[in-house]
Amino acid sequence: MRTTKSDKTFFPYYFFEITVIALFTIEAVLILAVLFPPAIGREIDFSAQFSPRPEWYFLFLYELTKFFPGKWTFVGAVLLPGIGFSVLLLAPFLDSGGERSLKKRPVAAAVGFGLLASVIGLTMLSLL
Amino acid sequence: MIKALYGMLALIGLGFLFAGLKVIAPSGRQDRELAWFPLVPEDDVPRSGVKKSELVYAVSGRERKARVFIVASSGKLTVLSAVCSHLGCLVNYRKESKEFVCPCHGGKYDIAGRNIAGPPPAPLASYPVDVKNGMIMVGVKV
Amino acid sequence: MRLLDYLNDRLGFTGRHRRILDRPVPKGINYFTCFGGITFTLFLTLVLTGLLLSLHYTPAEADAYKSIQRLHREVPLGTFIRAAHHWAGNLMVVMIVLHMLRVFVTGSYKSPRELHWVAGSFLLLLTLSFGFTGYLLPWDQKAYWATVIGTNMVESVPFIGSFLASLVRGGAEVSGQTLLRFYSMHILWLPVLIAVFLWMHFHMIRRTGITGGM
Repeated sequence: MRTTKSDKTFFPYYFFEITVIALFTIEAVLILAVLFPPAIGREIDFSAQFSPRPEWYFLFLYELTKFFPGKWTFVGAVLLPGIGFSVLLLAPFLDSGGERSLKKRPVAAAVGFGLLASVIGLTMLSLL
Repeated sequence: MIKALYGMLALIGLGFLFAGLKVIAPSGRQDRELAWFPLVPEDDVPRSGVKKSELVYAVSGRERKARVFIVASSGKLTVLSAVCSHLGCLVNYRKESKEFVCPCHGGKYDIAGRNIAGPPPAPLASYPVDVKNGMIMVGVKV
Repeated sequence: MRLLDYLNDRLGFTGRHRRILDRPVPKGINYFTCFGGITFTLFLTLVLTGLLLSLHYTPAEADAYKSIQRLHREVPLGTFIRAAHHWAGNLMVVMIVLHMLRVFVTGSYKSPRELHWVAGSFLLLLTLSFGFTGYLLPWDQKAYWATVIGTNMVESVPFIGSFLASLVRGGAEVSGQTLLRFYSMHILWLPVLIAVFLWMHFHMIRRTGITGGM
């Protein structure tokens, strides 16, 4: 553990900065809420033409299921996301060397950014 | 005494777990029976072709709706569910290619409802059909 | 001040304050360390707006859609509160991803902070569950079909898929039962779970402090 401490104390110096950032955050939410409120959706209609779409952060999953036809659906729908999440969950144990600098842990960097890139890539693909 | 304490705690825990699982598990009846519901008059269906329709049926008094396709080809009448067998989106009929196409992941079915392309694992479900007094009746398991 | 002293004698909250407010701050931290705090700010915004929304929402098949319409048309600031809830939720997902990215890049999850990350991963999962269950509540076209697809994905699990799916839906298909289940998850089960994991996350951070600059 690091023992170096900055000369500034948490209170009030950092607490002030945190409060400023919290204020900005809430401000951003309020501005977005005023400018782009969600519309009332269409009422459920079983006979209307409709192509459903999940929330944007699930688009990658939705796209992933496209690649696994037939009885393999569960691979895209459950298995791969499950493996992805397990890797994420166990990251500190898989990447357990003492080195903290990203340059000195290339495998972790490759896996981490690979995972991120595939999620972003799939999301992009479904937006096309 | 410690043993009795742990025993009691385990008993309370298991009791809540058992009751909880009983409550969470869906209580739907498993023995579904076939019931017949009217769809459209026979005269409304073309001799050959596909007609989109809405099936209104009831499950234990509650009204439900399902989108179906009435397919008439070579003198035979079939009623296909429009629910894609992949992930449950509603398929659309393409007249030009005589195919059903799912808007979600591009699954394709031929006019008999057989899955021919894309991710669907099974054909479109077809309902039992009967004609009574000029009315097309459809059997639904409720 | 007399009242504060009186309460402090009995509740002893300054001791706890001291520990939080006087905690050590390592050298060389920068604004990338803020993403976690921003996420928590958004979480609090979601709690507050959610509490307000729950006063006007009816989780029933026949009324859910109408109650959203009423919220938009009749409730003063109704649209605005729903919009704030919507945007805070979306931003929260973004901020969690950025927060995790910062922790990953700086290697902050390394010993002795492995479990911070594990608890954090569960917080991500819970947040996404909030997103999924909340998406159904307006009970409109988008909501209904997204849930049909989502629960059918659960159904694709071999052997126990249909049982799991019926557990999630409360029946064989998406219905009013599903709506009630998702509502209960969204406003009761998940908040309780996320409170537990947030407590763990923050408790561990207070014990170890945060990592300093590179």
